[in-house]
Amino acid sequence: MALEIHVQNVKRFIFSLIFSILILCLIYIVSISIGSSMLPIRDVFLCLFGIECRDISESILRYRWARSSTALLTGAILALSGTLIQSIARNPLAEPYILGLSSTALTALAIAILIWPTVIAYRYYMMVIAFVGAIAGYLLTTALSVLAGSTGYSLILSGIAITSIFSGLSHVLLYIVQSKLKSPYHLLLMGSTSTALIQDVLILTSTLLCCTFFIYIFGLPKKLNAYVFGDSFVKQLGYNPKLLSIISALLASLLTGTTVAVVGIVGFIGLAAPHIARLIAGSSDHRVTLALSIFIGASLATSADILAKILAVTTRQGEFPLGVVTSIIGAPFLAYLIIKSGKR
Amino acid sequence: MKYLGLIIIIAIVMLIGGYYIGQTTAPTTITTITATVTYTHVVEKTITPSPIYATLTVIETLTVVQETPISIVDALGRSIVFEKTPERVVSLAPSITEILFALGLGNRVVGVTSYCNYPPEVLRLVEEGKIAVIGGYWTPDVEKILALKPDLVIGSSGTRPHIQLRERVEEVGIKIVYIKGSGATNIYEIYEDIATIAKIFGVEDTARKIIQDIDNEIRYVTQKLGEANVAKLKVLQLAGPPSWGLYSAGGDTFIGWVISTAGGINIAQRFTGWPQLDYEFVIAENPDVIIVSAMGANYTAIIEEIRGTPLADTKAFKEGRVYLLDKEANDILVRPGPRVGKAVVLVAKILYPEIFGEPDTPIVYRMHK
Repeated sequence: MALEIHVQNVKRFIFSLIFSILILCLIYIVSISIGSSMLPIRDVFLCLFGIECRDISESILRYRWARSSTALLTGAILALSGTLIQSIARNPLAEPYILGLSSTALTALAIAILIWPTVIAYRYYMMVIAFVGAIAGYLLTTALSVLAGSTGYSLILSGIAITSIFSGLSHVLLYIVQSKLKSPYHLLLMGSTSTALIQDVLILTSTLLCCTFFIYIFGLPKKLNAYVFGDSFVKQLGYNPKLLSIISALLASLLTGTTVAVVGIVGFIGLAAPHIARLIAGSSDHRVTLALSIFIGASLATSADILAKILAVTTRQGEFPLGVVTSIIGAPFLAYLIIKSGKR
Repeated sequence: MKYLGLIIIIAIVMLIGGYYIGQTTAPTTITTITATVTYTHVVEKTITPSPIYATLTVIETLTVVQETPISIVDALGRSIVFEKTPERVVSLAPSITEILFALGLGNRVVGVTSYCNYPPEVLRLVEEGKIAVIGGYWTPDVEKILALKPDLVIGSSGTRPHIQLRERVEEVGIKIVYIKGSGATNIYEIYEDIATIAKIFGVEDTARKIIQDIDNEIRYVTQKLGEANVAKLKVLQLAGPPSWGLYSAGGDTFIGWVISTAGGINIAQRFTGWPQLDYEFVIAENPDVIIVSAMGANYTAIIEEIRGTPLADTKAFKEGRVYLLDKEANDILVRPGPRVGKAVVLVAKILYPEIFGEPDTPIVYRMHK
């Protein structure tokens, strides 16, 4: 009986994995095919397969590739990070930014601009500064959480405390920045893929690969399965629950910090993708959900990027921030899954 | 899973549809400056006596000359009546400060923003403590405004923080007038702005002179362009370095108007407001000239940054026609005030130096190839 259920679960997992990969491929192809230049789709594919390529279609394609891949990787990374965070916080409402990463990144950027305004012309310095800020936020949250007894509960509360302190601080600083740059500050760190470059794809890919590698090297999926049920279960298996939560949180922060630095703040995916993965897989086994959530997050972000492109062309308003569009794409899907699983 | 696709499609269609409906039904601001001083009253009476079949029209002409109070209609379509000329004025935007000083009303200005730096007199008066700073352009401080006890606040209807101020200022009995400001879509709306402010203070003659001067500057450019008969250049205008996002000026903004009047083709013409573009759009449009606001950053650093982006593939970059506007040059371009004629001349100089001469170098930096 138990074996039968196991076989059934594995079947369902493999099916949903293949299904989500196929969907992702389809979405990615659509994403490559459309864009604001209205380049004919025929030209796109002729160029893609190296048959016939004009100069202009080549540079457009290079950019489209960078943009679509950035969206895809951002989604994948945020989903992975979201799954990790929800497990170590033992809270389904946790999301990647709950560890105080976004507001500290913003604060770091604001300070940098105040000290040296020319930094806005150095994309990579800005990325490094945002990343350092995000990781500093994580360290502060962890320190606070350790002082409070390092439980999943204290981690969330510390994260909220750090987020509040620094979002207040960053807004004060950005108010001052405004007078230096003469531009409204809300444009900073607004998650958008419209300025994506090929280097961004390399940064995101290497981060995603490294972190996934570490997750499996440490055997995190199995350990997290036990962790969700309580510290005592982890101890029974011979692992250290505190170390486990610190390692997972560090990985999640590295992942999220990179996306904050490269793309900006993109909401919803980190929160919803893990849920969607669990609902589709029908289980919360991390060996399944970690992998599945990567593809689901990637699909969500890529389709949100497609919608952003369509809106930019049709509404005459220009580019929409990705974070605004992700929830429009993802929320109805999540709602559908919730209703469906409720009926079951 | 069967209806999944269908549900998603319906959801997307509804959302996009909803957006359009929201767009079309959104209230539009009415802009009419119609405070007619003299008007003709026409009464038509039709008398049809039975024996003679003829129509008789009686026209009564009635002329009323209105002295005080002065009544204006502002950019929000509100009619505002002034019993007496305001004595203490707060300006919420650099362009408004420029208009007030150009109209010779500088002695009535008691509050300006931290961005107001023209005419240079403003900076001196602020330093001497005769004019107070009431915060930034996007962050006016209500308390500071109220503490100045003004009898008139002038804001820009295109700037949300200014609109948000309205009730709090009116609550204490202070009049607040909105001009189009950054929401102006062409030169005529800037003229209207100048005329509206002039009317409040009864200095219409000065306004007429300012408008005449601007008109002359613009006519100088358009005439020369017409004589030279040059091919129009495609222009990309950016509000900051690319890392800031490719924010440009759409076809219904005064910056868009300035670019087309100076003989350029604004590539963001078909967008509305201040859109964010993506690299793909820019590459496909392939601009001949790129104009970037430097935001005080290092010039060579910005050019190097552009070199690393797809913008390097454009004709403008390849031919070394990327221009950075800093300080005064940028202020002239982005302020819908009395210097808008100079903005047209500036852009014309950037686009067609062979006709208008090179732009002034310290404030306009041209990249080196």
